[in-house]
Amino acid sequence: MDESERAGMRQYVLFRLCGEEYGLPIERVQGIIRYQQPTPVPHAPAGVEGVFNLRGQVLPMIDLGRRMRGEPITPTPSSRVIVTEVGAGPVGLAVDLVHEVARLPVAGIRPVPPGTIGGEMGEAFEGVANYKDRIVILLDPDKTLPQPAFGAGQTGQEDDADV
Amino acid sequence: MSDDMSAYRDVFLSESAEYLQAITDGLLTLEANPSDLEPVETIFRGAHSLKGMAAAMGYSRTQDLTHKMESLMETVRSRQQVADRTLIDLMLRATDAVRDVIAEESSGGEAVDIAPVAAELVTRAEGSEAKRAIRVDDPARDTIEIAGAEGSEGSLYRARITLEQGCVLKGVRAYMAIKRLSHMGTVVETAPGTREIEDEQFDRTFDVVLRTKSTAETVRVAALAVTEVDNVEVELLESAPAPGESKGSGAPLGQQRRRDVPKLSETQTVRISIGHLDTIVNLVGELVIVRSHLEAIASGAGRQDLSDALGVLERISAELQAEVMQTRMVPVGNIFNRFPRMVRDLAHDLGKDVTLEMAGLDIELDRTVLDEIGDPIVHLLRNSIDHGIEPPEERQHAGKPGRGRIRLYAEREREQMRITVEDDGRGMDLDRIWRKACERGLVDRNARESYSDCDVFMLVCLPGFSTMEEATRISGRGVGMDVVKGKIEYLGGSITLASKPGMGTSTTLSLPLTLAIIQALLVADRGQVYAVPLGVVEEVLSEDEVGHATVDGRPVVVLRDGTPVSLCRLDALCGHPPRDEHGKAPRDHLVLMRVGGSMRALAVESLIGRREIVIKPLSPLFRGTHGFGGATVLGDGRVALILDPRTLFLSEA
Repeated sequence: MDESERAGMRQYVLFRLCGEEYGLPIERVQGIIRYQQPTPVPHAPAGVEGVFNLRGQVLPMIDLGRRMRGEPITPTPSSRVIVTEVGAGPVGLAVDLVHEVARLPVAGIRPVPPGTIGGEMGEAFEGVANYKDRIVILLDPDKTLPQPAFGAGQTGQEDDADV
Repeated sequence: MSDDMSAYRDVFLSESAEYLQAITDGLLTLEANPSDLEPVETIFRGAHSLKGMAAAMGYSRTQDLTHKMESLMETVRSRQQVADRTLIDLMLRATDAVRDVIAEESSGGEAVDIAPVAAELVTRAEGSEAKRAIRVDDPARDTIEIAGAEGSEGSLYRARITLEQGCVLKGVRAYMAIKRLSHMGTVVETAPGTREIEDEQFDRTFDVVLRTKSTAETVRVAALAVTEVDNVEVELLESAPAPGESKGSGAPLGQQRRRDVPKLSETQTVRISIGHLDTIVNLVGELVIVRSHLEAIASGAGRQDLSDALGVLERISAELQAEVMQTRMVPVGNIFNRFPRMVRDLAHDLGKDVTLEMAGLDIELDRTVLDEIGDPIVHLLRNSIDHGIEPPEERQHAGKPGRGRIRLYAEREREQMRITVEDDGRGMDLDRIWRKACERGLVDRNARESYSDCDVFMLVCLPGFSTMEEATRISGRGVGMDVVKGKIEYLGGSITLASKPGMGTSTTLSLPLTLAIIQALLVADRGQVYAVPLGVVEEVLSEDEVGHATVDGRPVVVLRDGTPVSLCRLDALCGHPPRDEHGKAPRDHLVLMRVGGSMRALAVESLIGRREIVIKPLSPLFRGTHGFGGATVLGDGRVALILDPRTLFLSEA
């Protein structure tokens, strides 16, 4: 990693959502597993489809299609779940297809063209890059998530727990 | 920050928390009995160690503050001044400041201003300077007793002796120090061993465990008198039994902990992060699931050798699971240790005089359970101080000692753990509770005979018994015992109250030892499996055992004895549209649950059965949701949500 960064390159895991190509920085990807139907959690925040079992851990699954494109992914045998760690702990991001790991020159990353992306999700885009004549949209995993209701990671402090 | 540095930082943070706790404990013990200087050593050593660690990390403000704390304690240790209330207060505030500044320095902030408290420490330490001259002439100091040399009498100390930098004959100096100490009593053990010490196989510091009738200070002075000894820290490992005192009683319960300090050679432990443990528990759980999967395959294959191998695998994985669960067990002392300080501060604020006695601190409980019960215990302690213990004058008027007593103790009884909070306060007033419950409409005014005294006490655990208006700063706050009871029941435990007017109140929480595993009833609805904690399930009925009606437009079921019980459908609570317009289907099953003192009927599609399940927490992403207290992984690898009866029925409102 360090070596390639020094050489001005950064590695990204490339995946597809609704026909478009996206990338996540590889150091943020903990694992990629086959898609499994999550257990729905009633009243969950929008885009959080439910929970799934990753080697005994129960993790939330976010449908990245619904989050990024407003339409849920259609599970097929090639659907995958990318496991990444965010402020709220590890989560799974459901995507249509994970196809390769690419080295992209950092200098080639450009801001998202104005006017193409708006709303809440605009923040999640790090930029776009050209790769083999295609355009890849690079994501910041922390910003792909709905914010938890309260600050993540604070546990029952004596004073805020009214027991 | 490099990885190495952050690893050191984690160690520093966890160790510094322990030292701060030891300092706090020591200060409180000292406050209770300022003439006994044993805790001073602990405090002094704690501050000294923190100083060294902070210096190594480059945390200069922490280093500065702990140095000043050390200096102040030195004046107490050398009897230049007495640890009175104001000194203890100052040291406690300094301890808090250290905690804050460590938190800040470890994350790179610079906002905490230590100057005021540091200045106070210096002023207080210097204030005693003038008295120093007296000390030299103190006749007691020169009588280095050669007493207590015989047998196993006296206290057990650990003297940590550090030789001067550049000491040439380390082995000889050490030998002289050990020899000198051996004149005062019995040298039980040295670390490293005597052979290694003679061979100079140690850096500058070695430990001597000594049993003697002399005081810690005498031991220290004796060792310091040896040439080229730079520093001596003496720690009391075990107090001598006072003359005529029968073992195990008499001594305040809180102090019995000290006897548990292990011998040097027994401290064979490693630090391991909770994250690693959780991962191991998860993986073992997964292993068990794979095993049952394999068994299912094997039963179809009809191969004896495979079944035999699987039998062995089953035994091993069961043992592994039990062993791993054991590693998650933590002594209750880990959460109890913050209570003495809390009780002290609270009692001072409320003008009460209270001692807290604790026992059973070494009883172990699963970490998950322990995390959950801290707040309920805090609530019970607050209740005791605020409502139970009377002001000193009132107590004396009633012929009681002015200082109230709260006992917090843990006991183990087979697979249960009992935690009791007991005070010697004014007790609960049966009539008042009954009147209040009537006023709140929680009970039928004419039904007093059908309630035992115990039942009446339990009324305070009903939701709505305490109200916002009576909320005080300390307890109450609009929520009360109902929340405590709900939490304990959710964890599969129970709560009992006992009280005698004028004599006090005792509240006992009974909990399963491993709360990460609970008994649950698995039910299914709309293709999803849900787990209902068995602790709240009163009864399971089929639809034709009950009648249906509505009360104020809401559906109820009428039990055989005529009791109407509010009915909710699980699918409706989960946000599914009803399947038919009456909101009921003929083949539904009803799970009768006791929720915060009232009954609820939950209609579900089918029952699967009773299982032991391992509770997994839900991600903070689900903080805004309610009705589910966690999840569990089923035998087939699917995830089932665990219903939280306390919040499940909120969504109907």
